[in-house]
Amino acid sequence: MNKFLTLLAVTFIMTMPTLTPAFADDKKDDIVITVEGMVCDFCAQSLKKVFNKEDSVNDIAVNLDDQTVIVDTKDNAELSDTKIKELIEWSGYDLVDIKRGNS
Amino acid sequence: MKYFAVLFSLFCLSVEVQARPVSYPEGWTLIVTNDENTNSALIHYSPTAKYSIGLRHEYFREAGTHVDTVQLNNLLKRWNSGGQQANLYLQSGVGGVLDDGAYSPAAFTGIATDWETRRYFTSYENRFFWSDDSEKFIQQEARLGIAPYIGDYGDLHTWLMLQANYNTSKDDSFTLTPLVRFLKAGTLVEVGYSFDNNLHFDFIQRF
Repeated sequence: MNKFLTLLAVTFIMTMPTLTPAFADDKKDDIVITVEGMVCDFCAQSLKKVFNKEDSVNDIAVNLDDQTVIVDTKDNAELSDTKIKELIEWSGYDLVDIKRGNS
Repeated sequence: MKYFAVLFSLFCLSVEVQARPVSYPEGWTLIVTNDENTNSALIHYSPTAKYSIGLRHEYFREAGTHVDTVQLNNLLKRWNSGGQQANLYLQSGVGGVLDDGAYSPAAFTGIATDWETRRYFTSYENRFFWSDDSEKFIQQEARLGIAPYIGDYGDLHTWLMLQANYNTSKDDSFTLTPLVRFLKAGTLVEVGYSFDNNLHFDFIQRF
């Protein structure tokens, strides 16, 4: 039992450094977009559907409280500010601000 | 914006609830409505966020007539501002009325407008219906709504609403219906019971 617990603890400790930087890297690459006009789930769904069709987008989260769209791009993929503005307006909303990484 | 909402609230007075008659680009929407006068179903496709085209079937229970139309919805103008949104739509349809086994041409047109925050909702829409064989009429609908709590995307959103209808084709033409709206992701359900004892049920699914 002790061996099992020791093995479990060692596995957990060894895994931590691997997981933490990966998570941090993902957050660093996120694009936080502030959008005007999002008032309900239909709005959020519209933006999700439109962004998810983009090849460069891995995942998207919508926060109605903050009026933000958080886009996780695929590795080595580019999603320009111009393209983001185009996608927001194509969805029927207005772009306020784009923040990348730690900016 | 506040005056815009108040103006349409005062202008009140069945147009089916459309809850944004245009969806996101390349999105499909199914809308089923049942109220004191009508059962209807509309399925529409939105090539862009500016317009949608669909097929609509309506059954007017009192008259016993069926109406089939091709419907075009245009978003004429949208105002996005912080945590609020307002829209102005034009809704039109052409098709036919089946009455006593015979088809005759029919058409309708009307405007729809809404103003919404995450807490408050108001809308107004009208419809001028014309057919070659049966009666012509005007329908108007206005709504006021309040959300008792604010949820984020994916939560179950609840709205308490009061709907007013005015229909020139009916003797008892003014109807008030309290209703509850539930919205979660792409699914919307509304259940109400009018002051003249009619069940109201709406279902919208966005695909």
